[in-house]
Amino acid sequence: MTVYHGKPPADPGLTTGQIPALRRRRLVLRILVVLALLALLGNMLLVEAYLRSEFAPDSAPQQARPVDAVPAAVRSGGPVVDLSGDKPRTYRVPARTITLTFDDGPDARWTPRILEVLRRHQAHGTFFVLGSQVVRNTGLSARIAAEGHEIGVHTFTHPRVSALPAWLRRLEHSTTQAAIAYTTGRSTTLYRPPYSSMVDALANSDMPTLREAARQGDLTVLNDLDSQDWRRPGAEAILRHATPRGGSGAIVLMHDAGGDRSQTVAALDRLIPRLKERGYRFTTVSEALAGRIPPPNPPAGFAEKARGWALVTMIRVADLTLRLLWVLLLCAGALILARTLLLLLLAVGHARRRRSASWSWGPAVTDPVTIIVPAFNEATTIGPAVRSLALSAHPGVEVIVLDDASTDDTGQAVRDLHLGNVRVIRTPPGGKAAGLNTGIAFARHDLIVMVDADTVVETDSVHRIVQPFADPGVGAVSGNVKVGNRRGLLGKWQHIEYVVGFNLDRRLYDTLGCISTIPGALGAFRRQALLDAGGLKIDTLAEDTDLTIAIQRAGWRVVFEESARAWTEAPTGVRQLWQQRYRWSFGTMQALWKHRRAVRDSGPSGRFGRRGLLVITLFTVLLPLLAPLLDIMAVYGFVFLDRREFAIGWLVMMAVQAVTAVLAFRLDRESLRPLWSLPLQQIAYRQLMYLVLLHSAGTAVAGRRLRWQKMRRTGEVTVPARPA
Amino acid sequence: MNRRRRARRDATPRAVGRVVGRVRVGRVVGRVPPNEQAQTDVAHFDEIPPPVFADDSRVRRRRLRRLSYAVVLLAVALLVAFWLSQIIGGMPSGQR
Repeated sequence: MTVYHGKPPADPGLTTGQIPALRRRRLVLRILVVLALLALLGNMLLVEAYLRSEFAPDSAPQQARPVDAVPAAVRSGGPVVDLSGDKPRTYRVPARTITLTFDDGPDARWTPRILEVLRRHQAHGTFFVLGSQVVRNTGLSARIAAEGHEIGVHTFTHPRVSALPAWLRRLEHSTTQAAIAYTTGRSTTLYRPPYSSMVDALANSDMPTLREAARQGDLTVLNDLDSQDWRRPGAEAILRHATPRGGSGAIVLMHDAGGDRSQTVAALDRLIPRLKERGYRFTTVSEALAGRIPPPNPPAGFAEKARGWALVTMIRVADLTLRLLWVLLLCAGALILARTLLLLLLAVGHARRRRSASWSWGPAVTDPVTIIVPAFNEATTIGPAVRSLALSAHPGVEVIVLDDASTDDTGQAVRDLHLGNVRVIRTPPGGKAAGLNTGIAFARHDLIVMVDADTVVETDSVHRIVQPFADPGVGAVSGNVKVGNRRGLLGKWQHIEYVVGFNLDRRLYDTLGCISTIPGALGAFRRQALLDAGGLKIDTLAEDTDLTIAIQRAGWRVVFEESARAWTEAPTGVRQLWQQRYRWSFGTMQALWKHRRAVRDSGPSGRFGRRGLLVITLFTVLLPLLAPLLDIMAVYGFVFLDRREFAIGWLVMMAVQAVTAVLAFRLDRESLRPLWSLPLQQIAYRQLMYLVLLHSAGTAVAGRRLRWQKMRRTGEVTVPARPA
Repeated sequence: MNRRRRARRDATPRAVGRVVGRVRVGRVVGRVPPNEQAQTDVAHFDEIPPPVFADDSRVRRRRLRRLSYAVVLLAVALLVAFWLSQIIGGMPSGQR
């Protein structure tokens, strides 16, 4: 029989996108855009990683290093070193003069306290700041300068500079200068390398750094006395270490950041009055060496301030990006945990209820059933599928095969089966939804089962799937679809996905009353429910999701019958899998968008909209979009941050996924053997689904028309013997 | 008025009142579409709705494409300018 449809949808006219050269150019540009976006994100993450690299305290013990290249004048000279001339010059502070220096700040907690102590005792100090701290505490840097203290460079991230290449050393120095210039409006000519102490500790490897500083016009400021506050030995010990002997002057090393500095604050509060009583004056480096060194903080130029502004902005954007990623990761983690808890509580409860001896849908349903099989070029697979359906153990089964203008004798393959209860209706090309609508029009019975042409059912599957119709409120039933071709890694992964999806997620959605999709592979409908939903629509590519949502909005219940099993053929190649998931995810987005107004409806439509659409959006769109962050941030954390912490976090998440997978396999009485590939499946699938979702979202936003793409069938589906 | 004008233009004699006998109508050519192209009422759709998200005018797509090119170009230019300024700015004045 042949059926004539109305006019097929008009094809949009020729576009520039159909010109091959232009199409290729756009593809290249699109790839470049994606690469550029990835580079931008990578830049932000690397900047953050560099900023957050942890450092050891300033005076951490160092191994013995050669010193023969350090000029004798420097080794025996004062702590302020000037290597700009032919001969090295060093300076000492005069007797009874103390120059307090504070390294590693500014710190939001400790620097204000130290500034307060200095203000109270009317003393000034010199702060050797880290650029990374300056950009995060811009107000504090300005306050240091405004209160009359001096500022010097202590590099950007406190690296061991002698181990860095020259360009990175320069970058560490110049970025800190720029940050100081932007935040204080002043330049600086004072420099103190990290991990430095006194002049006699200088080694050959320190000299290039000191010479570079000199070439940039900077004086290197080391120290005479190390307060050793970084060891946190107690205020009394710090006081002792910071007190010069015999009335000599000294540059004293202290810290205003890098940990708990309460002892430093307490020691400072006692040191200044005590030494003042002994006739000491407290001053900055330039005041102590007045007339011998130039002013250290002249006004900064425009270029330097602009570089500082760019740096601060870049770091703020990088901070924001990372913070956003952490928030999204937190959301992903929360969603995964919520889903796991819901699965454990509700899905397991669902399985228990269904398996209890007292469970029943009601009196046995023996009404005749029409099975509709839409088919397009399915000659390879349709024979076994239709035979399994026609021979179903249910009274009065009628099979209608909708041959959607196949070119491979699909219809003939069915006719060759010579089955009396099978009809073939050939339709002009119109798509799956149109074919199904035609099938509904020709169906003689009120119970309608829809089955894909690549799906083989068990003998009693049709009987089982219509049993929930004993409940007059049930409008549609989802079957339990399993992968029939499990050979190869891709087959195994999809098998795992189907088992988890049908035995946990679908049970959960069934309990919550919001099953999102009656699978095209096996689903049963009450004719009235189909009519109430307005039949199948062709404005989405996921006509099954669209129909399922429409049925529930019409007030019908949609339930899951796990004992009605069907084996379907899953894609065997990555390209086909991509195409299938691309269509599914795009279609799901279309369906969700199409029914978005349900959230404002009253009655059953509103109830479903406010509960069902929210749950579906959270778990089928948002969670797959966020889940890859688990892997990306785990790699990022493992490489750049706390390796142990991130490895444990990631393994915990994997363990959670493994537990849920094992549970699903147990509920479906499946062998656990394929689960060896679960870790790889979790990683690879997450990324694949993420890319598919992004692609789909891009298609949706751009307003492209996505068309059905025919899958290549192999006819490899086998139905294993049903366990006793 | 119109009817009178049309009648004047039509030169073929017309039968008025009851017609008896044969009227020569000339050769009749059937213009019936073949079955394969015919539209029937067996299964029809009231109105084919446009696909969700589809923008057949392509305006949205074109704007999005241009906007993404512009944003990415600007962002990359800013990034390159940033790093160049930081690296060149750190060089001693003689090496710049």
